Amino acid sequence: MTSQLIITSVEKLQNDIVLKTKSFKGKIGIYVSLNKTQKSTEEMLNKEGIDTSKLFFIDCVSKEKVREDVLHIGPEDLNMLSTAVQSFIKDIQGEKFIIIDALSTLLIYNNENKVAKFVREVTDYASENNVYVIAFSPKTQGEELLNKIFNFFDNVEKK
Amino acid sequence: MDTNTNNHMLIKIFFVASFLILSLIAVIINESSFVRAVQPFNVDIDLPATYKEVSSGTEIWFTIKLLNLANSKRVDVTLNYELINKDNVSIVHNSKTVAIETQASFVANLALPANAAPGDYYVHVTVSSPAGESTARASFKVIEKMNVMIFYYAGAGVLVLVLLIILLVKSGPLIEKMKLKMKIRRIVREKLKNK
Repeated sequence: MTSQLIITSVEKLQNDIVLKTKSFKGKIGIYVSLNKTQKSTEEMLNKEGIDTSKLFFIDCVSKEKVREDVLHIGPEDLNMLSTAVQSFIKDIQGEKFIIIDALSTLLIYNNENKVAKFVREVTDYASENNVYVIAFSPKTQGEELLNKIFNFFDNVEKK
Repeated sequence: MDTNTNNHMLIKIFFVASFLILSLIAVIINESSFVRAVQPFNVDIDLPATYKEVSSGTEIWFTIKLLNLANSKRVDVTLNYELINKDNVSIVHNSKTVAIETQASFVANLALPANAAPGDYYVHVTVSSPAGESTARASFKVIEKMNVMIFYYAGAGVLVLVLLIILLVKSGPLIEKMKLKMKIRRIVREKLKNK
């Protein structure tokens, strides 16, 4: 299994992300942050005792460049987002994982088909390179999209 | 006697005057015949505006219009047409024989030599018939090839420029992607350097 979609309640979302990230302890990760800025996400993870030094952040919320090692890509630019994820996968050697927090946010800026295409590109590329992908989505949002992208994931977990 | 002398004088004057009048008429008639012999045809050359300024090596097309002034029966005429320079030196020449009754038009062409120097030139046409020769000429200018080519070069330049702009606009996202990939490579290298 290389990809998983976790559909959870808004209340449990943060906790589930922390638990999943913890489970990849020691591995290099790519964190696509669509709900919070890189700063607040990193603070939240650090607070939970997660070492973020091996996490590469793609911040889709804030456009303000604070750190050199953080990419800022608008959530409407799925093409660039897909390219960035694929480039990270290509350039990082060894075992790695991708966290997408949270998929449904993309629907605010893009139509379902574009988001579905993006998901397919990312999951396909990750699968080809044996990279673990975990996408989160709040239960109540984007049901139409979720129906379209179910099949792109090896496992769908509804909580 | 005086009356007879006067009559003789009058008769002489009458004859001399008659002779002079007849001679004058004969001269006028002869003169008319002479004119007709010199220009039995009205020749007109129709050189299109596109050939008023040409570069060397151009093939020049023109129309020769003939009007038979004598309006006589059908005759065979020889059309001699040539390109001459400003010193009246023929540089290209051709001819053909055609039949004409009252009027006719003929399309002809002559190729200007590739080494023709810039300057004034003429299309010169001579129509030869048993009644005589008629001529006509039309002028044109040979300009340096560069002057003509410069428009093509300028056009090609503009076209290339437009294509480059289109290419640049189209390749904009591609360049952005390449920049992003390079940035990611640098981020990964820097961050994992000490790991």
